[in-house]
Amino acid sequence: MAFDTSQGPLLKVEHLTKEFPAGSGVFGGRFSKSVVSAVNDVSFEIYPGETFGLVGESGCGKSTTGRTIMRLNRPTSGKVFFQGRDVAAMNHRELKAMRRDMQFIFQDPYASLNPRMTIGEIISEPMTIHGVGTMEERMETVRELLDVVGLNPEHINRYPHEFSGGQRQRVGIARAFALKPKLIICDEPVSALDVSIQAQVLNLLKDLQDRYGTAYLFIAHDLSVVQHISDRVAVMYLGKMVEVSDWKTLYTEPHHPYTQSLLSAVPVPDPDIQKTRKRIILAGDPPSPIDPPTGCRFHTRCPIAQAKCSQEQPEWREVAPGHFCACHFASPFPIKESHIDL
Amino acid sequence: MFGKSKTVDTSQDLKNQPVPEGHHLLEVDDLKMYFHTEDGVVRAVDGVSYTLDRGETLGVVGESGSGKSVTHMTMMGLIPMPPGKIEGGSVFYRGHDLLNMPEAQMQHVRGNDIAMIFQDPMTSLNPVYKIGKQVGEGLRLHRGYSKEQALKRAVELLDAVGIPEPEKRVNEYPHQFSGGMRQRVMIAMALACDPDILIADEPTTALDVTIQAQIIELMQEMQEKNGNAIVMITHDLGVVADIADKIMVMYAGRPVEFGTADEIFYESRHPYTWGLIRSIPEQATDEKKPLTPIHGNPPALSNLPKGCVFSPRCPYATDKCRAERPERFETGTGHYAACHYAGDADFIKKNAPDTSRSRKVSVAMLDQEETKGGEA
Repeated sequence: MAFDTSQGPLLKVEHLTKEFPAGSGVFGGRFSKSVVSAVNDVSFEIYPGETFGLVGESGCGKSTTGRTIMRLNRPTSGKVFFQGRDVAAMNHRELKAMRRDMQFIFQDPYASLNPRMTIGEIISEPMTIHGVGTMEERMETVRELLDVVGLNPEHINRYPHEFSGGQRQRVGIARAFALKPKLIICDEPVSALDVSIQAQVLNLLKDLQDRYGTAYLFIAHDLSVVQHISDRVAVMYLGKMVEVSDWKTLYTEPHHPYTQSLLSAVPVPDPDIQKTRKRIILAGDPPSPIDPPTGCRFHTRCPIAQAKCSQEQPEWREVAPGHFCACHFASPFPIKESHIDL
Repeated sequence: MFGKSKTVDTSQDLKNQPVPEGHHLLEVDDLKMYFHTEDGVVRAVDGVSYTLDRGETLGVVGESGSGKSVTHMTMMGLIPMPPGKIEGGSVFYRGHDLLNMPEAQMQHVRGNDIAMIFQDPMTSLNPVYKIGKQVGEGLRLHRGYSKEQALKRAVELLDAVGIPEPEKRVNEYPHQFSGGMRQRVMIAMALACDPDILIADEPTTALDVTIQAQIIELMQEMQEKNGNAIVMITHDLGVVADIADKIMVMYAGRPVEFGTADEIFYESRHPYTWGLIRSIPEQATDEKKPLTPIHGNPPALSNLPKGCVFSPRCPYATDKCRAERPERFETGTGHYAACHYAGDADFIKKNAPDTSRSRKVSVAMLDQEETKGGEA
């Protein structure tokens, strides 16, 4: 594998839980008892230079996980250790220092760049905040970065509106790399882009990782994109992590029925394969995280659910070395056709 | 007008008239629609041609700004003119000219004969009307149903598209529905008048992958039942792989390749189609190959490059490509590609991407050679 496990994990997330107050009213539901259970008891670790993919449908808590790690949200409970220090317990000064090593790439290249700043100002801002180098040195770094991400360094004084979506995402990437961080949280970095541009940006992220040894937490809903870029992949459903393994095992031997159905639902651009492969089409919508189902949260849509599933939470167990899964009846064999009740 | 319900004569509906001998249900020929803006002429639709028959599904594939939506909005008369202007070409539906149809008649065609589903189910449903009213609106308008009849039919339609408890849900508002459920409502609405052609503009792009699978299956089921034709507009080649009979690939307002699904996926003759196929991460199980993106960005439609519009991004472009606009090279089966080298078998063989079929063939050939070698 490309990444290094000898020095221990760069990031360690332990039993992370994030709840938001639910309900409406004058105080935004601050005094109401119901909560949105966005992330529930999630644990994983990321090693230096690794790409860890986090995949799931909208509302499954993947972005909240990323934001809570960065402490854009405070965790409700659980711990996040970055380079051995607990992010949840950091004060303002420690947080600032921590964020020098942990940066973020956002989904929307239109909303995440200030339209009134030149791209030179945008990319140099992290260096300005952290007091890196002199003005001239910073501009020199910006030019280098522009060149590395495939933009013309002469465009340093242009504004975001003068660039296309793919080019703007390159600006966002250059900004994230300005401080040469150890970890970058990429929240759906390519989902707003057209497929030909998406491939350009994925290749760029891979090149930059090879060059700087950065680790990525790569959050996306597109399984084929996540598979392409990740060393290990975690699947989330309704705030819970349901399966983690290396990318290859996850795609060849998915254990969890949700992973199996998710994989089978991805459209394959090949009519021969598409027509012959077996598809598991889940019935219904994901339930609300305000009142998640008891027991296994997936049991309401699970094609192989049994009585036990609605009563007991499945244990997070290691089904093979490095391959974890939370399902009472997990098996490496794909769900049989007869189980599918539509 | 006078009573609760008026009977509307539907025998005059275009969809009940026969397709003229030797013609197709829908015939689009060299359609051109340009926007005349302050910044110059934007060639949004520049020579689109295709035919469609009942029961068929056409996939229209292209990136944002390639003209796939605007082509179909033009056909439906939904583009404000000006700034838009039809610059040439024709659209015939069952032998009737859609581009020169009086607006009153066109209004009857929209929703009744040809219906559309839009990408974003949130913005295309009216937030202040109940679902039942919106689903039944077409029936009231085109069929003269009474309120009660329309509501009753709306319940049946919601049931048909798989919405649980339809009697209760017709009285709810769009915000009470999830994204997937709203898209089901859109489909129910589009199918209310039993249209001949359903134009679905990125119907699953805003949805999660498990919901996308549900919606595509639903559209196929409905097509089997009603026999309507579908035009599926999408940027995702995967979505059209198993449902499209024919595929049109668009780039910069022009169709660059058209053919059956098999021809587009396994015998493609256009470098842009190859680029699209190569840009999609493969579900590799042994080894990851780097993606081959298409370099650069799509051109501005107001300032198109000379010659072939794809030439600035095409890895195989020659001086000829940069100077002359390519004619369509057409095979005997109606498969065409707008590329100077689409007829050059060596060029295609050398540069076309591997497909699951070509790999099978090359493996079989290797096996043959091995057995031959073994014998010798």
